[in-house]
Amino acid sequence: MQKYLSLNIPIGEHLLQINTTETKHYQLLKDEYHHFNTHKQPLWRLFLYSHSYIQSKTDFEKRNAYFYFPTNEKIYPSLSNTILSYISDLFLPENYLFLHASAILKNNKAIVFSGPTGTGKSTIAQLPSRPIIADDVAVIRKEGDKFVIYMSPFDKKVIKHYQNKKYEIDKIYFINHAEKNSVVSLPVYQTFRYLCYNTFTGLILENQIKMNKFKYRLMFDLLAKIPMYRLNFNLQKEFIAKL
Amino acid sequence: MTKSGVFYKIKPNLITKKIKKDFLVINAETENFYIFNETAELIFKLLTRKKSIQEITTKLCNKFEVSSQRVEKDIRRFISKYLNNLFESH
Repeated sequence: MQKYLSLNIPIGEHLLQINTTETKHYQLLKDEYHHFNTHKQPLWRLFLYSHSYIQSKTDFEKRNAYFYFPTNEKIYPSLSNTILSYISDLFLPENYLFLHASAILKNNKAIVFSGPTGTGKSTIAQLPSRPIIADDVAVIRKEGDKFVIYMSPFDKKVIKHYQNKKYEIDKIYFINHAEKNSVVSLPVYQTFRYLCYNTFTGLILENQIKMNKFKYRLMFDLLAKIPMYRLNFNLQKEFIAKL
Repeated sequence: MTKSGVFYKIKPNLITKKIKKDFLVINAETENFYIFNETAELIFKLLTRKKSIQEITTKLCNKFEVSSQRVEKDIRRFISKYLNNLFESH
């Protein structure tokens, strides 16, 4: 019988258990993700195995998920990021959406800054007077008719002071590297494009239409509910402080 | 609805949402995404209620004060443009 090493990771109100037989996988995720000891029943049990290429298999009935990942040294460091797209898919039916974003608090509400790597998410999250709730992965959820953001269990800078807390989302900025700083209102097709581009998703191979329905319903509701803008940003923190 | 005896209904995997003046439609199967203006939204909604081209033409003529020939042409163009992605014919 295989002996698994397990990590319990809080995803908002729910729990994800990651199980692996590989010490290397376990150690990497243990260092990257917030985890805790609990006997609580997880919503999903994710089993992580080594394989020659990336593959997933999902048992929706038993809520067991199987993720296969290469131990190849070149691709291996990206495990914690790749697996996020799969975890994000697993939690879509519970109205969670993982956005590539940082988030800070202002007046007890979250301001979310989304964008690809290198656009300045972390620079913004380093503002000294604002508590960080996400540095790279924003865990967003629709609860009733509100959208909230939970402290991210997936960001090293956040897990140092992690608490299972949620905050209402005030607005979302999509960061665009630019010479001049400005905030621009966007037509809905452009915000939708940004949202699609920056959402972690797309690794569940089964029930794809059903998964897409969950995803696009959530995205449409988010577009309708939360003001979104493009933030042209030249990486000067002073501009963000003024926002 | 009928067009020369052909019936149309919307595909089962469509998700729609009205956001301010825009009407968003996405096909969850093909992931094709559309944004309709007020007129296109009205035609889409009337088609989903199994209205005939004649009925839709009358409604649009009353609402927008345009000629029935032009409206009918626009409706037929709308159906042929979106037939593969949004509607099924029977």
